[in-house]
Amino acid sequence: MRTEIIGHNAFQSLRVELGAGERFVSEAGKMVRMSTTIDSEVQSVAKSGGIMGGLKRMLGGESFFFSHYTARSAGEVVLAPTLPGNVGFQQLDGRCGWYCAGGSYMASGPEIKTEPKWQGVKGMFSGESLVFVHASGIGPLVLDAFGMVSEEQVDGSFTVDTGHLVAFEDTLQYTISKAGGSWLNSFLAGEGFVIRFTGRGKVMVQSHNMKEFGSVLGPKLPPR
Amino acid sequence: MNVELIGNPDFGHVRYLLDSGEAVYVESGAMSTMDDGISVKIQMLGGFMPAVARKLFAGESLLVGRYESRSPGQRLSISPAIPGQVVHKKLEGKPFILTSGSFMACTDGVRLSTIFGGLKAMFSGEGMFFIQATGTGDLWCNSYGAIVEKDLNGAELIVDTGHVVGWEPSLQWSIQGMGNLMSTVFSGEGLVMKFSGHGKIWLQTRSIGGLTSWLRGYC
Repeated sequence: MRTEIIGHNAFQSLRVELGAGERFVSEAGKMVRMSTTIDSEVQSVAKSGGIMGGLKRMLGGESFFFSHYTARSAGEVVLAPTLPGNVGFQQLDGRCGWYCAGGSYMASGPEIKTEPKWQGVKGMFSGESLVFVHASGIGPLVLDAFGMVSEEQVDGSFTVDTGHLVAFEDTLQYTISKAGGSWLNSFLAGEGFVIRFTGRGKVMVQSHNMKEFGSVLGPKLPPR
Repeated sequence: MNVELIGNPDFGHVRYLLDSGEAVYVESGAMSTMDDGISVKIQMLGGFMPAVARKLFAGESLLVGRYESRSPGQRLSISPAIPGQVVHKKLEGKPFILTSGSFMACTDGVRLSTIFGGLKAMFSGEGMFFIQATGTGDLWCNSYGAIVEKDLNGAELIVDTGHVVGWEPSLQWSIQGMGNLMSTVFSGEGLVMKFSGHGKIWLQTRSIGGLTSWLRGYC
């Protein structure tokens, strides 16, 4: 299996080359094109994680369905995110897992195990989702993003505004907090709640925030 | 202060590395990530009345956050709400006028005020009020699409409404139709702005009005 990010800046996609018998998994609806030598099968998450697992996943802003690709002989699958932006990519080495926040899970290698993890009240205020998808194992993990993706190293503590979080290593802890100083300042600065990470590890963030873009366009559109 | 403009022209944003005591004023809500050694204080840039005027008329937020570093090498990233280019402008006493929503951040020494564009501004598609930045310091602005700078050396330039990011006040401008009545109505441009004089103007290659009127067809 070989993965490659194709396209530039705002319009990146992921190309996956599969050899005979190799497999790949994506969230349903992400496939753009594939070779005829590849079989794709849509499975509800319920099949792997039970109905509860599936429902939890939906609360995480993810699809209830997965597409499983299997190559009968060599071929390729191209997957694209929904919004313009970079494709986030991590090669997991089994050392630690990643939490994918707010529906950012897009695809993964066959050896990656994905489980919805309940975030409770923290998830509600994170502006992301009630459930994060935890990915672990060895292989590629691919993420959806709006804008440019960057990785920040956290050593101690680091603040990410809600709406900009894509994923983070599970060696990090997070709390819902305020942006520097007081709660009043945080809200007046237009930041409100932010996500404060502590520990050591990597955070993947997206440069832009869909909700903010939506709220620029929304008032200029007629009510539904 | 170390400043990096990244992601241009599609997803421009700014990354600062601030040392102790260094600060930037940031448009409300624009912070995306930051280190712990940065404190946020709310200020009304240019005083209370100018800030209120900016909020009411120019659509800019009433408040800006002053992000000040308390220790060396603190990271701060800010991004606009809209995909597009981010540009830096060094102000050296010469004022610069920005259309509403184009202001993103500035350093100490830059003063922002609201100016009334007059009746003609009602037809400019840019709002009735503009933001004037004066003083000396650094200014960061954002656009929808890429930014194109034109230096009008006594020439005239016609710009479609909704495509202006900013200009130097040494330029004059007026509103006019696109030729005769027939072409004004049917060209799809409607009213346009005509700039003349000596000075620089910044244009954006796309307009939010264009995007929303296309989306409206699908609502």
